[in-house]
Amino acid sequence: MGKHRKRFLFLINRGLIILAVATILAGLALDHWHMVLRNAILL
Amino acid sequence: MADEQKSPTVTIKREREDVQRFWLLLARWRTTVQVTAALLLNSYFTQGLTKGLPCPALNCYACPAAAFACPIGSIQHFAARRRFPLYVLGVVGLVGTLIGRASCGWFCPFGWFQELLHRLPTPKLRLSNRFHWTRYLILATLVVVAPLLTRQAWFCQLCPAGTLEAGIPTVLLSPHIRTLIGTLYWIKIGILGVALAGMSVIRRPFCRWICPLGALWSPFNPVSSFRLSVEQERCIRCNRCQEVCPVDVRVYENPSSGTCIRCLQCVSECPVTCISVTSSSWPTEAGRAESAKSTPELC
Repeated sequence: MGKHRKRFLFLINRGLIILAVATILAGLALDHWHMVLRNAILL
Repeated sequence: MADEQKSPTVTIKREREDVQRFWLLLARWRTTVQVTAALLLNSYFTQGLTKGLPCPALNCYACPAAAFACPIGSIQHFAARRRFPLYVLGVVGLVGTLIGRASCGWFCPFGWFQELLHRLPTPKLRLSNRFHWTRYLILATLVVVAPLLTRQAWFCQLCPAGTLEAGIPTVLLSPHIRTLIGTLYWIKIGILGVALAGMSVIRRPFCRWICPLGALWSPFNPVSSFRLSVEQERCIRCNRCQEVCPVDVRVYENPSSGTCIRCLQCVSECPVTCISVTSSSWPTEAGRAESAKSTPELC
Protein backbone atom coordinates (compact mmCIF):
# COMPACT_ATOMS: atom_id res chain seq x y z
CA MET A 1 0.00 0.00 0.00
CA GLY A 2 1.43 3.36 -1.02
CA LYS A 3 2.39 6.09 1.42
CA HIS A 4 -0.23 8.52 0.11
CA ARG A 5 -3.02 5.95 0.26
CA LYS A 6 -2.06 5.05 3.84
CA ARG A 7 -2.08 8.71 4.84
CA PHE A 8 -5.40 9.25 3.09
CA LEU A 9 -6.98 6.30 4.92
CA PHE A 10 -5.53 7.49 8.23
CA LEU A 11 -6.97 10.98 7.77
CA ILE A 12 -10.37 9.66 6.66
CA ASN A 13 -10.44 7.30 9.67
CA ARG A 14 -9.60 10.00 12.20
CA GLY A 15 -11.99 12.45 10.52
CA LEU A 16 -14.83 9.92 10.73
CA ILE A 17 -14.09 9.23 14.41
CA ILE A 18 -14.27 12.95 15.21
CA LEU A 19 -17.47 13.30 13.16
CA ALA A 20 -19.07 10.29 14.90
CA VAL A 21 -18.18 11.55 18.39
CA ALA A 22 -19.53 15.00 17.52
CA THR A 23 -22.75 13.40 16.22
CA ILE A 24 -23.12 11.36 19.43
CA LEU A 25 -22.63 14.49 21.55
CA ALA A 26 -25.20 16.38 19.49
CA GLY A 27 -27.53 13.39 19.76
CA LEU A 28 -27.02 13.21 23.52
CA ALA A 29 -28.11 16.82 23.75
CA LEU A 30 -31.10 16.45 21.42
CA ASP A 31 -32.22 12.80 21.15
CA HIS A 32 -31.16 10.89 24.22
CA TRP A 33 -34.16 11.41 26.46
CA HIS A 34 -36.45 11.04 23.49
CA MET A 35 -34.98 7.59 22.91
CA VAL A 36 -35.01 6.64 26.58
CA LEU A 37 -38.68 7.55 26.83
CA ARG A 38 -39.53 5.68 23.62
CA ASN A 39 -37.75 2.56 24.79
CA ALA A 40 -39.23 2.80 28.26
CA ILE A 41 -42.57 2.03 26.60
CA LEU A 42 -41.13 -1.31 25.52
CA LEU A 43 -40.01 -2.33 29.01
CA MET B 1 26.41 1.19 12.82
CA ALA B 2 24.76 -1.81 11.15
CA ASP B 3 23.24 -2.94 14.48
CA GLU B 4 21.86 0.55 15.10
CA GLN B 5 20.07 0.41 11.73
CA LYS B 6 18.82 -3.17 12.13
CA SER B 7 17.55 -3.04 15.68
CA PRO B 8 14.40 -0.84 15.16
CA THR B 9 13.39 -2.99 12.15
CA VAL B 10 13.75 -6.22 14.15
CA THR B 11 11.77 -4.70 17.05
CA ILE B 12 8.94 -3.61 14.74
CA LYS B 13 8.88 -7.06 13.10
CA ARG B 14 8.66 -8.78 16.50
CA GLU B 15 5.91 -6.43 17.57
CA ARG B 16 3.98 -7.28 14.40
CA GLU B 17 4.39 -11.00 15.06
CA ASP B 18 3.15 -10.55 18.64
CA VAL B 19 0.12 -8.63 17.39
CA GLN B 20 -0.57 -11.35 14.81
CA ARG B 21 -0.34 -14.02 17.53
CA PHE B 22 -2.81 -12.02 19.63
CA TRP B 23 -5.36 -11.94 16.78
CA LEU B 24 -4.96 -15.69 16.17
CA LEU B 25 -5.59 -16.36 19.84
CA LEU B 26 -8.59 -14.05 19.84
CA ALA B 27 -10.07 -15.77 16.76
CA ARG B 28 -10.21 -19.04 18.74
CA TRP B 29 -12.39 -17.30 21.35
CA ARG B 30 -14.94 -15.93 18.87
CA THR B 31 -17.76 -18.29 19.83
CA THR B 32 -17.25 -17.44 23.51
CA VAL B 33 -17.39 -13.73 22.67
CA GLN B 34 -20.58 -14.29 20.62
CA VAL B 35 -22.29 -16.17 23.47
CA THR B 36 -21.23 -13.52 26.01
CA ALA B 37 -22.46 -10.71 23.73
CA ALA B 38 -25.82 -12.46 23.21
CA LEU B 39 -26.23 -12.78 27.00
CA LEU B 40 -25.14 -9.20 27.70
CA LEU B 41 -27.42 -7.72 25.04
CA ASN B 42 -30.33 -9.67 26.53
CA SER B 43 -29.41 -9.37 30.20
CA TYR B 44 -32.88 -8.12 31.26
CA PHE B 45 -31.87 -6.67 34.65
CA THR B 46 -30.04 -3.65 33.20
CA GLN B 47 -33.02 -2.61 31.03
CA GLY B 48 -33.85 0.44 33.13
CA LEU B 49 -30.33 1.83 32.73
CA THR B 50 -29.33 0.77 29.24
CA LYS B 51 -32.40 0.48 27.04
CA GLY B 52 -31.86 4.01 25.72
CA LEU B 53 -28.45 3.04 24.33
CA PRO B 54 -28.17 1.57 20.81
CA CYS B 55 -26.29 -1.73 20.81
CA PRO B 56 -23.68 -2.61 18.15
CA ALA B 57 -25.75 -5.50 16.75
CA LEU B 58 -29.14 -6.38 15.31
CA ASN B 59 -30.91 -7.34 18.53
CA CYS B 60 -34.65 -6.67 18.76
CA TYR B 61 -35.48 -4.22 21.57
CA ALA B 62 -38.98 -5.62 21.86
CA CYS B 63 -37.46 -8.89 23.14
CA PRO B 64 -38.65 -9.28 26.77
CA ALA B 65 -35.02 -9.63 27.91
CA ALA B 66 -33.37 -7.04 25.62
CA ALA B 67 -31.16 -4.64 27.56
CA PHE B 68 -30.26 -2.28 24.70
CA ALA B 69 -31.99 -0.62 21.75
CA CYS B 70 -31.71 -2.05 18.24
CA PRO B 71 -30.06 0.63 16.03
CA ILE B 72 -32.25 -0.25 13.04
CA GLY B 73 -35.44 -0.14 15.13
CA SER B 74 -34.35 3.22 16.55
CA ILE B 75 -33.57 4.68 13.10
CA GLN B 76 -37.04 3.66 11.91
CA HIS B 77 -38.57 5.16 15.01
CA PHE B 78 -36.85 8.48 14.32
CA ALA B 79 -37.79 8.29 10.61
CA ALA B 80 -41.43 7.66 11.53
CA ARG B 81 -41.29 10.70 13.84
CA ARG B 82 -39.54 12.65 11.04
CA ARG B 83 -36.54 13.42 13.21
CA PHE B 84 -32.90 12.92 12.28
CA PRO B 85 -31.38 10.06 14.35
CA LEU B 86 -28.15 11.86 15.32
CA TYR B 87 -27.47 9.75 18.40
CA VAL B 88 -28.02 6.38 16.72
CA LEU B 89 -26.10 7.27 13.55
CA GLY B 90 -23.26 8.61 15.70
CA VAL B 91 -22.97 5.31 17.59
CA VAL B 92 -23.27 3.26 14.38
CA GLY B 93 -20.68 5.52 12.69
CA LEU B 94 -18.24 5.28 15.60
CA VAL B 95 -18.49 1.49 15.76
CA GLY B 96 -18.11 1.28 11.96
CA THR B 97 -15.09 3.60 11.91
CA LEU B 98 -13.34 1.69 14.67
CA ILE B 99 -14.05 -1.94 13.75
CA GLY B 100 -16.00 -1.95 10.46
CA ARG B 101 -18.36 -4.93 10.28
CA ALA B 102 -16.55 -6.81 13.06
CA SER B 103 -19.65 -6.35 15.22
CA CYS B 104 -21.53 -8.64 12.81
CA GLY B 105 -18.93 -11.36 13.27
CA TRP B 106 -18.35 -10.98 17.00
CA PHE B 107 -21.34 -9.42 18.77
CA CYS B 108 -24.49 -9.99 16.72
CA PRO B 109 -26.69 -12.69 18.32
CA PHE B 110 -28.57 -13.22 15.06
CA GLY B 111 -25.29 -13.70 13.18
CA TRP B 112 -24.22 -16.31 15.71
CA PHE B 113 -27.61 -17.99 15.39
CA GLN B 114 -27.11 -18.21 11.61
CA GLU B 115 -23.72 -19.84 12.09
CA LEU B 116 -25.25 -22.38 14.47
CA LEU B 117 -28.03 -23.22 12.00
CA HIS B 118 -25.51 -23.65 9.21
CA ARG B 119 -23.87 -26.45 11.21
CA LEU B 120 -27.01 -28.58 10.81
CA PRO B 121 -26.39 -31.61 8.58
CA THR B 122 -28.38 -30.34 5.58
CA PRO B 123 -27.36 -30.03 1.91
CA LYS B 124 -25.27 -26.86 1.48
CA LEU B 125 -25.55 -24.29 -1.27
CA ARG B 126 -22.83 -21.78 -2.15
CA LEU B 127 -23.95 -18.49 -3.64
CA SER B 128 -21.76 -15.60 -4.70
CA ASN B 129 -22.04 -12.14 -3.14
CA ARG B 130 -23.00 -10.62 -6.49
CA PHE B 131 -26.38 -9.40 -5.21
CA HIS B 132 -25.00 -7.81 -2.02
CA TRP B 133 -26.63 -4.51 -3.04
CA THR B 134 -30.04 -5.87 -1.93
CA ARG B 135 -29.19 -4.95 1.68
CA TYR B 136 -28.75 -1.30 0.62
CA LEU B 137 -32.11 -1.47 -1.15
CA ILE B 138 -33.75 -2.82 2.02
CA LEU B 139 -32.03 -0.11 4.10
CA ALA B 140 -33.30 2.64 1.80
CA THR B 141 -36.84 1.36 1.34
CA LEU B 142 -37.93 -0.44 4.53
CA VAL B 143 -35.79 1.45 7.07
CA VAL B 144 -35.86 5.01 5.73
CA VAL B 145 -38.41 5.76 2.99
CA ALA B 146 -41.35 3.56 4.07
CA PRO B 147 -41.28 4.71 7.75
CA LEU B 148 -40.94 8.34 6.60
CA LEU B 149 -43.99 8.04 4.35
CA THR B 150 -46.24 5.76 6.40
CA ARG B 151 -45.02 6.45 9.99
CA GLN B 152 -44.66 2.71 10.53
CA ALA B 153 -41.49 0.72 11.30
CA TRP B 154 -41.72 -1.53 8.26
CA PHE B 155 -38.48 -3.44 8.63
CA CYS B 156 -39.33 -4.30 12.26
CA GLN B 157 -42.73 -5.56 11.14
CA LEU B 158 -41.06 -8.13 8.86
CA CYS B 159 -37.67 -8.70 10.55
CA PRO B 160 -37.05 -12.42 11.23
CA ALA B 161 -34.74 -11.52 14.15
CA GLY B 162 -37.64 -9.59 15.71
CA THR B 163 -40.05 -12.47 15.19
CA LEU B 164 -37.61 -14.91 16.78
CA GLU B 165 -36.50 -12.75 19.71
CA ALA B 166 -39.68 -10.78 20.39
CA GLY B 167 -42.71 -11.93 18.39
CA ILE B 168 -42.74 -15.58 19.45
CA PRO B 169 -41.66 -15.06 23.13
CA THR B 170 -44.22 -12.26 23.62
CA VAL B 171 -47.04 -14.40 22.25
CA LEU B 172 -45.96 -17.34 24.41
CA LEU B 173 -45.67 -15.22 27.57
CA SER B 174 -48.81 -13.13 27.24
CA PRO B 175 -52.30 -14.67 26.80
CA HIS B 176 -53.67 -11.17 26.08
CA ILE B 177 -51.34 -10.77 23.06
CA ARG B 178 -52.39 -14.22 21.81
CA THR B 179 -55.91 -12.95 21.24
CA LEU B 180 -54.53 -10.19 18.95
CA ILE B 181 -52.76 -12.52 16.51
CA GLY B 182 -53.66 -11.64 12.90
CA THR B 183 -52.47 -12.16 9.34
CA LEU B 184 -49.30 -10.09 9.85
CA TYR B 185 -48.12 -12.44 12.59
CA TRP B 186 -48.45 -15.45 10.30
CA ILE B 187 -46.66 -13.57 7.49
CA LYS B 188 -43.84 -12.89 9.96
CA ILE B 189 -43.73 -16.56 10.95
CA GLY B 190 -43.60 -17.50 7.25
CA ILE B 191 -40.67 -15.09 6.64
CA LEU B 192 -38.88 -16.52 9.68
CA GLY B 193 -39.45 -20.07 8.42
CA VAL B 194 -37.98 -19.22 5.00
CA ALA B 195 -35.06 -17.41 6.68
CA LEU B 196 -34.31 -20.37 8.99
CA ALA B 197 -34.41 -22.80 6.07
CA GLY B 198 -32.08 -20.51 4.10
CA MET B 199 -29.67 -20.20 7.04
CA SER B 200 -29.26 -23.95 7.35
CA VAL B 201 -28.41 -24.26 3.64
CA ILE B 202 -26.52 -21.00 2.83
CA ARG B 203 -23.85 -19.28 4.92
CA ARG B 204 -25.21 -16.22 6.75
CA PRO B 205 -27.78 -15.24 4.07
CA PHE B 206 -29.35 -12.55 6.27
CA CYS B 207 -26.00 -10.77 6.80
CA ARG B 208 -25.12 -10.93 3.10
CA TRP B 209 -28.32 -9.87 1.37
CA ILE B 210 -30.79 -8.50 3.90
CA CYS B 211 -29.30 -6.88 7.03
CA PRO B 212 -29.66 -3.08 6.86
CA LEU B 213 -27.27 -2.65 9.80
CA GLY B 214 -24.64 -4.54 7.82
CA ALA B 215 -25.41 -2.19 4.93
CA LEU B 216 -24.71 0.79 7.18
CA TRP B 217 -21.38 -0.66 8.31
CA SER B 218 -20.21 -2.03 4.94
CA PRO B 219 -18.87 1.30 3.57
CA PHE B 220 -16.75 1.66 6.72
CA ASN B 221 -14.82 -1.57 6.09
CA PRO B 222 -12.16 -0.01 3.78
CA VAL B 223 -11.51 2.94 6.14
CA SER B 224 -11.98 1.41 9.60
CA SER B 225 -9.18 1.26 12.17
CA PHE B 226 -9.45 -2.55 12.21
CA ARG B 227 -8.67 -3.86 8.72
CA LEU B 228 -7.37 -6.92 6.95
CA SER B 229 -4.48 -6.84 4.52
CA VAL B 230 -3.07 -9.46 2.19
CA GLU B 231 0.55 -9.80 1.11
CA GLN B 232 -0.20 -10.48 -2.56
CA GLU B 233 3.36 -11.69 -3.29
CA ARG B 234 3.01 -14.52 -0.78
CA CYS B 235 -0.61 -15.51 -1.51
CA ILE B 236 -0.87 -18.82 -3.39
CA ARG B 237 -4.57 -18.33 -4.36
CA CYS B 238 -5.55 -21.64 -2.73
CA ASN B 239 -9.04 -20.27 -1.84
CA ARG B 240 -8.77 -21.60 1.73
CA CYS B 241 -9.87 -18.14 2.97
CA GLN B 242 -13.09 -18.39 0.97
CA GLU B 243 -13.74 -21.97 2.13
CA VAL B 244 -13.65 -21.01 5.81
CA CYS B 245 -15.26 -17.58 5.41
CA PRO B 246 -18.77 -17.41 6.95
CA VAL B 247 -19.82 -14.90 4.26
CA ASP B 248 -18.01 -16.51 1.31
CA VAL B 249 -15.56 -13.66 0.62
CA ARG B 250 -12.45 -14.27 -1.51
CA VAL B 251 -10.21 -12.29 0.84
CA TYR B 252 -7.14 -12.05 -1.44
CA GLU B 253 -9.22 -10.30 -4.11
CA ASN B 254 -10.58 -7.65 -1.78
CA PRO B 255 -9.52 -7.66 1.89
CA SER B 256 -11.66 -4.55 2.48
CA SER B 257 -14.83 -6.09 1.05
CA GLY B 258 -18.02 -4.61 2.47
CA THR B 259 -19.36 -8.12 3.03
CA CYS B 260 -16.42 -9.17 5.26
CA ILE B 261 -17.45 -9.47 8.92
CA ARG B 262 -13.87 -9.53 10.32
CA CYS B 263 -14.28 -12.89 12.01
CA LEU B 264 -10.53 -13.58 11.47
CA GLN B 265 -11.23 -17.14 10.39
CA CYS B 266 -9.17 -16.54 7.22
CA VAL B 267 -6.29 -15.10 9.27
CA SER B 268 -6.03 -18.23 11.38
CA GLU B 269 -6.60 -20.71 8.50
CA CYS B 270 -4.38 -19.21 5.79
CA PRO B 271 -1.70 -21.86 5.00
CA VAL B 272 0.95 -19.25 4.12
CA THR B 273 -0.16 -16.68 6.75
CA CYS B 274 -0.34 -13.91 4.18
CA ILE B 275 -3.51 -12.35 5.67
CA SER B 276 -2.94 -10.04 8.61
CA VAL B 277 -4.79 -7.54 10.73
CA THR B 278 -3.70 -3.95 10.24
CA SER B 279 -4.72 -0.75 11.89
CA SER B 280 -4.99 2.75 10.57
CA SER B 281 -1.72 4.53 11.35
CA TRP B 282 0.35 7.36 9.92
CA PRO B 283 3.08 5.79 7.70
CA THR B 284 6.52 6.29 9.24
CA GLU B 285 10.01 5.92 7.76
CA ALA B 286 10.75 2.93 10.06
CA GLY B 287 7.48 1.21 9.12
CA ARG B 288 8.14 1.66 5.40
CA ALA B 289 11.68 0.39 5.70
CA GLU B 290 10.45 -2.61 7.67
CA SER B 291 7.72 -3.51 5.20
CA ALA B 292 10.15 -3.16 2.28
CA LYS B 293 12.65 -5.50 3.95
CA SER B 294 10.33 -8.01 5.62
CA THR B 295 8.64 -9.37 2.48
CA PRO B 296 11.73 -10.92 0.83
CA GLU B 297 12.89 -12.27 4.21
CA LEU B 298 9.60 -14.03 4.85
CA CYS B 299 9.51 -15.50 1.34
